[in-house]
Amino acid sequence: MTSRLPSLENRLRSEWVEPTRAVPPHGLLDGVRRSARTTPQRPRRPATAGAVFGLAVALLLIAVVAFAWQAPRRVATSPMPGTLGVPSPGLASPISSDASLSPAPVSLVAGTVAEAVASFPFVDPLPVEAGQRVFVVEGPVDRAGTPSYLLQHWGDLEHGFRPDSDFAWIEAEVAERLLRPVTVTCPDDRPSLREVAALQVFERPLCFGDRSLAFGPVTMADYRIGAKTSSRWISDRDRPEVFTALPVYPEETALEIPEGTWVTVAGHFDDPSSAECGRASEVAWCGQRFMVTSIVPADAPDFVLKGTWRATRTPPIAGRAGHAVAWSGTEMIVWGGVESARDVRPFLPSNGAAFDPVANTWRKIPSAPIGGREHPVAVWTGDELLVWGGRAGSRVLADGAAYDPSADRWRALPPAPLVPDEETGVGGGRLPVGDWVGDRLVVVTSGGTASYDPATNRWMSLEPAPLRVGWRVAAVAAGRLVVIAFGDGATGEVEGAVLDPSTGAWNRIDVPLTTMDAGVEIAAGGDVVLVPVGGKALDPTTGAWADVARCGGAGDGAAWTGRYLLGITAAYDAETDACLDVPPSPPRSAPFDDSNGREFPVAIWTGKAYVTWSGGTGGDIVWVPNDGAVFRPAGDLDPRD
Amino acid sequence: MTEGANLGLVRRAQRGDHDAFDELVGEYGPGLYRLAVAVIGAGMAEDATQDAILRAWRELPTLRDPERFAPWARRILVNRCRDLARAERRGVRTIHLEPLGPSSLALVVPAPAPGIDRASDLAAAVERLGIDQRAVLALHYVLDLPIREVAATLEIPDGTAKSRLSAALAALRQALADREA
Repeated sequence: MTSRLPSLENRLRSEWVEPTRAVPPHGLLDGVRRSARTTPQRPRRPATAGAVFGLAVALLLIAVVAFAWQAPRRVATSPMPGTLGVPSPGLASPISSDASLSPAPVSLVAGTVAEAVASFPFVDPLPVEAGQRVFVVEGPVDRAGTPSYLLQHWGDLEHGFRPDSDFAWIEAEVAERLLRPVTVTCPDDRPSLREVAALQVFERPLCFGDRSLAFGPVTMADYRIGAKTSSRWISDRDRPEVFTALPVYPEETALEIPEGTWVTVAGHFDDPSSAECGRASEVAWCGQRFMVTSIVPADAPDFVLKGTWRATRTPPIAGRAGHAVAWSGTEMIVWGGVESARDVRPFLPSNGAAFDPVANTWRKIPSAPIGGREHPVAVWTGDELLVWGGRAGSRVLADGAAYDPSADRWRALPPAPLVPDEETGVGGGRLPVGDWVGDRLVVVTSGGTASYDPATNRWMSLEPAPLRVGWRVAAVAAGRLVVIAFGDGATGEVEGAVLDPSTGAWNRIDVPLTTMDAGVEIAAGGDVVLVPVGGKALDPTTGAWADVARCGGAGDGAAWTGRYLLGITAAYDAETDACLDVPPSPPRSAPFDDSNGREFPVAIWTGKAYVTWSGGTGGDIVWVPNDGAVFRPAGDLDPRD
Repeated sequence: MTEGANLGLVRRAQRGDHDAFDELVGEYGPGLYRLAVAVIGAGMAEDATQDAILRAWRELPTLRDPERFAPWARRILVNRCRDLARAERRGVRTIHLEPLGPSSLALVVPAPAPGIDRASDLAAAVERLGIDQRAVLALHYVLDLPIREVAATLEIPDGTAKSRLSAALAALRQALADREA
């Protein structure tokens, strides 16, 4: 007997029922409505000069229309009520308009741009809004006995745009009442990429014809918005956006350039081959493509931290995330972590390795005398790597060990005078945090604070941190330990405290973050503690916060160079208060073609280079490729050298 | 194009109209909650939904295309789920199962009703996937969004959404096979 099992996709639809049947708990939506009423909105973006100009033009047009309306002029109505357009095989459906009032008709000319004086329907779903521009592709031509124009509409950011633009026929009489010819204002002879991208697609060949234009440095990036438009775009920064970047053709040629590469691209609109594209609409569309004639390598612009990445050799241990790391002065030492969260029982190795970035060699180090774990506190004392605390499954640990690389030997640390935290529950992170403060390791748990002196191999109890439970993060700056605790549901507010090691006393501080920032990284940035995601800097000596440039990417795998907080994708420049892009690191061997980078990566700064190894991919620790990479900045980043 | 939203409501809410936003919450809140349950689990779905809706309110004036309100709100939710999962991984592990060996399984687990075991197997296998994979599966199979909408929600190219979906299904097959082994 054979059985017919449902496909996995059918099973997902029929058996993955919990989310489908889920209804918001009683009061959830009302509660969030109430919260919204006491939450201010972010201010709308300031209007750009172009938008202000557009508004002025629109107001002027409204005034003109209003004036015309006042005149005792009877406006023509459609011979077929509500249907003013003429069908066009292969093009858009006929245009319907209820624009019954309009000023006197004005003749339109094929190959020019016109502006709508009133909104009218076009190809669904977007209308042509008053003030928007259209391209008069062809006309007036006789279509089924009615003179008509072929129009092209693209749209704008305010009202929405058509990914591939749309074409439609409109009766000449209607078009001449709804549209007014306008002169296109073109950029200078050597336009920037943004100036060209800000033009309507049909204005570009009108402005530049087939003249050669060059843009650089720009990057190549994948960006798909429509079926016809190229998926390869050039952009001068960040990810491409429709009105700041430009699709380039032939798509196949552009695809040969690796994404993220800085290049100078030359090309032109109005390619001669456009004439062979077919119908008038296709010819127009083809002529609006930017055809690439040359692509040459270019230096990265100033907002990119110049330097080069190289992959490290593969270490003799498996990849992992949430592991301990320290820089000994000659080696990056890694230990612990979780090999993968794919398994129901994650494997928590107790082994580690050391990497020499000069020789590009790894060596395996002995297994520690304590169990493997995720997210232990890890510090370098000057002689040893100390690891303490962390988590094994849901168990919070309260033991530690020290590794001496010169002897290649571990020793267990004596028991700390701290009560281990209870098992964690959902939403109540209670992992110990800590750092190297002066000449001691200081760790903070929910129940207390203690310091460990490696010189005497002794622990000492300190005043408990005045913080309730919650997700905690810690960093040292200006010789003080800063701990921030995010609420766990029971405690809504975010709390902070600073430990002065000279007195052993804690001072509570205000923290301008919210519980929604739980999970953000904080990092030592010289004399201040930086919150790169939030764009905040704390002076631990005064408890004062300052606004700095937001630089979220600098928080992932952060390492302080003396001037920059260097992360895998971005660097915060403390000298200029600017966030710089870091060039793309070597691609990872993850199952996704757009891997999310590295999750819970570790990284160190050697004084000359930034070294990172492993970390999860895909938004959760599912795959942890065993790959390392070294970023060598082009300039000297460390003022201490 | 992406699915339409009630443009009038969105535009009013963008100008700070609380009543309009209340209506949007009523319209989109249940779907967002279902998505949260699928992506991060029932235990944290409430927090994720609440945070995402509040963030949507705060950021609403910066939404440039009101028609894309729905995918935009879902993207905020998925991002919030990812943040919570990251923070939660720092603090806790939500799943800690001690699988029983085959012999003990046979001794202690009563035979489940037909159909129940398969569904729970599937749910458990889904839980073992990463947030991004669960998000793709949830958008496509729970909310029934076409691939293009999934891509628009996650702000990734269509091809990437397809490959993520394929990878998620492959990982799910593997997870199911592991459970059956």
